[in-house]
Amino acid sequence: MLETSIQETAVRQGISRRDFLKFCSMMAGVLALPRSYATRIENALATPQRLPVIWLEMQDCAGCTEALLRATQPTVSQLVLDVLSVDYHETIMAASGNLAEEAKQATIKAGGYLLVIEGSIPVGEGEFYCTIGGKSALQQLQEAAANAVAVVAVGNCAAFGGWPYASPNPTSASFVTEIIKDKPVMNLPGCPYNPVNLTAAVVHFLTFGELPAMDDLHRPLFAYGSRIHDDCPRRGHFDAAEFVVAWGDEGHQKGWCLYKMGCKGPVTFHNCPAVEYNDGTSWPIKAGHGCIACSEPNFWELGVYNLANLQQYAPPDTYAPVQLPTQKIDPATAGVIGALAGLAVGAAGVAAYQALSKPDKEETPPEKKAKQ
Amino acid sequence: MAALTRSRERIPASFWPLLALTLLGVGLAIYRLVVGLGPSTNMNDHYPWGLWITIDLFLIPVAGAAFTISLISYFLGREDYHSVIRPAVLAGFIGYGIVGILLFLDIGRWNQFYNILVPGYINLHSFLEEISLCITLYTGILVLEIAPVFLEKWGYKTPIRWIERGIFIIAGAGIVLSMLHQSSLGSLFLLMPHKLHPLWWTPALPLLFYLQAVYTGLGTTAIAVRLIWGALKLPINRDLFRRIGQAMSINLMLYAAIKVGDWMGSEEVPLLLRPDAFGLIAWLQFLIGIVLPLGILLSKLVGHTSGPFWAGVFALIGTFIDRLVVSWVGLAEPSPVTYFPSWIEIMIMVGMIAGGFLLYGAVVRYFRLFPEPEHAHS
Amino acid sequence: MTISRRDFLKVAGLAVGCALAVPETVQASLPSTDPNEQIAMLYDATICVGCNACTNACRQWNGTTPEPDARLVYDAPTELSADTFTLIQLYQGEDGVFSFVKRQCMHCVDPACVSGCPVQALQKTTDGPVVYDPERCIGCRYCQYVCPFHVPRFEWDVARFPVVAKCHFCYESRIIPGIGGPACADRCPTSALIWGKRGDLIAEARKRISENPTRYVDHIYGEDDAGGTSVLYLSAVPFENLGLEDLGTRSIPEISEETAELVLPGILIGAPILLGMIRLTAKRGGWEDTWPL
Repeated sequence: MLETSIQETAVRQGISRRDFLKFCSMMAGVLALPRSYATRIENALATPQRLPVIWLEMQDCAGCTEALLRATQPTVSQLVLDVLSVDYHETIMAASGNLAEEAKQATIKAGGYLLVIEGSIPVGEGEFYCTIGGKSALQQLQEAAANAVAVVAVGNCAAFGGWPYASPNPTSASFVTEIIKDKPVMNLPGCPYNPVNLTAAVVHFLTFGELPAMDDLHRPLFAYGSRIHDDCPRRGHFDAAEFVVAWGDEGHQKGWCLYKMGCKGPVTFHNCPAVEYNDGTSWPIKAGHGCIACSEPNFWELGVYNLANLQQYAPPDTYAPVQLPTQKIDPATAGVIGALAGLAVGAAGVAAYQALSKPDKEETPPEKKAKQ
Repeated sequence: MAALTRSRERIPASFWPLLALTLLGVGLAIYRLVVGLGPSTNMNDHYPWGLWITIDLFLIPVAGAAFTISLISYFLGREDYHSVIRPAVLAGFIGYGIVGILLFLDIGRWNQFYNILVPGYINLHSFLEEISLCITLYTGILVLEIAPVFLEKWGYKTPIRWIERGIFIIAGAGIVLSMLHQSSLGSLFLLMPHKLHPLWWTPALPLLFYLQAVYTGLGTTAIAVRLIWGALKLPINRDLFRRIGQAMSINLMLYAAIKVGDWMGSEEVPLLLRPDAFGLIAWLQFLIGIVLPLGILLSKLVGHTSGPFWAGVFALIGTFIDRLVVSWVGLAEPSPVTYFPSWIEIMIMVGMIAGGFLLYGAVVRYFRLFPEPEHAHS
Repeated sequence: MTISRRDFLKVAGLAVGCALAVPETVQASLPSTDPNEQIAMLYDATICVGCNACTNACRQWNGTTPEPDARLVYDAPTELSADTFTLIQLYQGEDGVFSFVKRQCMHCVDPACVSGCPVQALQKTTDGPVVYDPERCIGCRYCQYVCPFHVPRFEWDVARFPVVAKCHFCYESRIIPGIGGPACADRCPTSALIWGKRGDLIAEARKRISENPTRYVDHIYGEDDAGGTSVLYLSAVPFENLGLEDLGTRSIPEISEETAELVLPGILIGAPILLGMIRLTAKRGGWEDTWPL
């Protein structure tokens, strides 16, 4: 139990106020909030709060947990997560066996906790492919979700089924939003997800008391609102049609666009270009390989080296329109030609009429007449 | 005859404005050569040919009066026509001179214009090449045909005799070349069956252009001769005019038959009945340029001294409209861009024509263009 | 009019002699290669995404000047010009139906411009592309006038001395030296634009239509249109909407060339007859040795 605020803990740990404020600003940035919100975040983190977390691993590889543990980033981030009182996490908690189960049940009973799910959940005939502590993963999920404040599905497996969901899906794997219908669910897909986004979502929760705005796939908009393609540092190369066509070629060495090498940036929503992985070390495109769309449902069907579908649904009006050949006379030309023609014909008509209606006065010389 | 000898001191009032216009035209022509076609004309990628080509297409049949008269005179006897051959050939010569200058100004790479004569480059499939060759040769023939007018004044009798000796070949070549390029003017447009408005495009274009050139040339002759004889107060040869009028009406009727036959055969008559601008122009061209002249020439007015004159005026208006539509108005283009000649294009054309009148008037004044009436019947 | 037998024979003999002397009329300057062996391009409008990489590649390779939009930010040509040999245009129909279309020289099998150029400045190479030689060109713009696809453009603003501009298939700059295909085709990221032997491309296009009948209009534009072109089109929308008109299957120069082939024989046969008749009437009238001038 905690009575001190995150800020106080930070101070005790020797983190300067300046670094703390920097963290608050960074969180505002990640959450796509205006900079003025940094103050609000600071206030929230200065208030003593407690947010218990139950972290359940289902059919997973623990990669999302590993990602979390790799956060060597601003210590304050670590603090936030530390301070979250992760009451149950199979990989990192010290307890095991019945002791661990009891701790979990106690937390569930107390309520008010955040339920984090990692890994896909087998259902139907395959329900018992994943059993923990004698219960199926599905049962575990349903029990734990009952008293949760919100459910966060981290990683593509928990959000969309992930690799186990791929055909033929031998374990009948399913995912959180297909199972939990009566609680707010937030998906943080990715393979792995980016832990910075979890930190930011938690900060949001602590500051505003609710989950951030999400799209229709339950993904928070601050992290999944725009495409990789739209924020990609190599976008300029795409627009200039400078593409890598073979690994190691001149374009690859110059950091050109990887679209022709199968990059799925154009169809993937994620904030990798902005926050990068491993505390800002790198991310796939920066390392020279195209995005594989790991935060999208069924991404494995796209094929890593197939070209992403760039089709727009409504091209912008900035394109030059097709012109169809027609004969036309513009009004000005028609007017002038008509006026000239009218004048010419009118004048000629009048003159002709006058000349031809008069008796013919010209006479031929007499010699000519005789010859005719 | 006093009427033929003019006082050298009295310059006609028309001289000064004509001179001014000519000088303006020459100045603007130099300007066009210096700055290029873009700044000086309104021609563009969708209307690459403009006013100058229209005028060329109009002046060539008009100046073709020269060949028409040559042709008829050989068949009907020089006695009846020799009095009009000189004015006709001079009109032809000046007309083709203007055409040549306007063509030179029209082409973009005028420093290489002689490429049309280079044997390795010549494309005999191209009617434009044919026309270029024909016009070059025909202008040369016109020079030879008109030369005696100048040579006799300056006393060079020997060259005149050479020309007279070879006149059969010269005039014969002129007739053949003229027929050829009058119809080739029409063949130019055979390459654009889809771009030219269907009421004007037909595979019979060469024939139509040729017939039009014949009756236009006859009309021009009627106009020119009537004006000049009226101005110089010479007696009118009504029989001459009657024959010109009859020849004109035959060609007009042939033209009309082919034109209407083509409209019917290609199922284009509905286009004439639609209330759109092109249908209207086709009607105007037909009524003014064919029906009205025929109305005059097929009646007793053909014998009126001014009958063929006015028939010629209307026929020429009709020919002008026809050549106008075919050169740019009737083009189908995928662009809202239109074309109307710039004032520079207009003034250059006006200047050249004014220069032509100036030159014609000068020749009439200082050289013997018309026979003395006593010699008319020798 | 009575003509003596002798005079008749004289004229007739002259005419026949000339007729026999008519040389082989010059064949069209088309090489006698099978068009399907020549190189061509296939543009599939259903794959094209309008990225304008082709426009850009052509710009870069030919070093032409960009044509900025109103804000002077992007190179945004709206139609072909003396600086733009190819570009993408957009057709928008009802119910959100749209298609891109690439504009450039169609490199026709029997080009109107080649037939019409008085000095053979435009020539159809044996490999297929239609190329331009400014050394011969006199700037008459007849090619602009007759092209059924409204392709050739002119440097109106150049005083000395303007050239005619159009796509040249990168024939001399890329294909002959073996650098690759046309710059636009090599750059296309989606392979909407590919190049190769015309026969192969037609086969490929047919295959695409038969495998995806609902995706395409059942016609390869350029296979027969206007006698065939070397730039072939596949589309999901009717071709007229893309500005590719129904020009029939007859090549454009056919009528003109048939007429042109009558000229030389016409002169050589007709002239002697005409002049002979003139001479005869002159003789009859008794004025064959005098001249009114």
